[in-house]
Amino acid sequence: MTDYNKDMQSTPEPELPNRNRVRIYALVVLLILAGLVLSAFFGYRLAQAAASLRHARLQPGETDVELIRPWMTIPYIARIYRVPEETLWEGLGIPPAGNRHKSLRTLDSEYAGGRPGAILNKVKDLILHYQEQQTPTPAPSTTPSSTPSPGAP
Amino acid sequence: MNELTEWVLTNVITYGAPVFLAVTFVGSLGIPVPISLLIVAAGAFVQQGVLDWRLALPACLFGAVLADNSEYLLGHVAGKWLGRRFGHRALWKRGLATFKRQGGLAILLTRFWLNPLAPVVNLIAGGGYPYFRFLFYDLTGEALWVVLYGGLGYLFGREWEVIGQLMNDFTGLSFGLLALAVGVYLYLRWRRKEV
Repeated sequence: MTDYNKDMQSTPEPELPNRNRVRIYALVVLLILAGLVLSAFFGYRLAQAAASLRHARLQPGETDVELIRPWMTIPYIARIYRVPEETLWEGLGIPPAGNRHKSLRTLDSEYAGGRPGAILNKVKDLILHYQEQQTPTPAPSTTPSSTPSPGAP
Repeated sequence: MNELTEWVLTNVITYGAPVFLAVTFVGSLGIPVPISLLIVAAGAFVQQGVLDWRLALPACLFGAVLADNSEYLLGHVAGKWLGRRFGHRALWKRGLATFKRQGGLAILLTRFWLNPLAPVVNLIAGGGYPYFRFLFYDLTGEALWVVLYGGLGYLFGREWEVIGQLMNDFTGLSFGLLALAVGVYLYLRWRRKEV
């Protein structure tokens, strides 16, 4: 056998399994690392969301104005909070025509000089004001008093 | 919540089912629209009386199934070309045979659980998976997805944002655990071969 043939037989053969081994090792390490990072990240977020869900369930019902978001429209808010739509439009000083399909964020940019949250905060105030007005005042007690009033005979 | 999601929500509460159909179609094509979150939101809108479930449910189902079928068709066209090129290879044949045997489960799971993988599975299915079997698993999976996510939105009503976040994180966690499981499986198999 010539030297050339000896070289051809000895050099390239062991390289391929080694390269394959490195590739598999890299893939395994990558998968395990990615799996650990993703599981930890989303597991933490999941636990946080679950905790906030428990917290949110303790809050009062449909009257909570903190649930108003910039993507909501006036007709939607009026429906959910059971406030007449006209009350909100009048309170905001915005005509409903052409604006009923616009979000609070869009109304901000068109009617509040782009101040973020200006319309949203005003809507919150209007709803709270309306809810206060709607709360029935306690009726005077009709139970007869046990002690006679000073002017009574 | 990003601006695109906000824009979609505004339009869903304003125009209802037609927008919902368009969004589920676009989102199911793999274009990054948070459709799972929107399904949860739609459930809450139904509970609030803003959306009619008799329109929203079929709209959502139709949009998603239409997108899946479009991808299947694309996979069918591409599969013919790929089949001509690689059809004689053993690996290709083995891959197709495996998908024909176990593809149903992959189609079903990617509809309501590992959703980001759905477009890829649809394309592969188009390459040779029988159409009516695909349609059966697709419809079943999408119906499960809509009922499960929409049902949660309906049940939790005002907390739908948290539920949507929860479901997204659950999908992320599933991907993490899946990667971990595959990594550990490959490691154990590799060690067994080494020993």
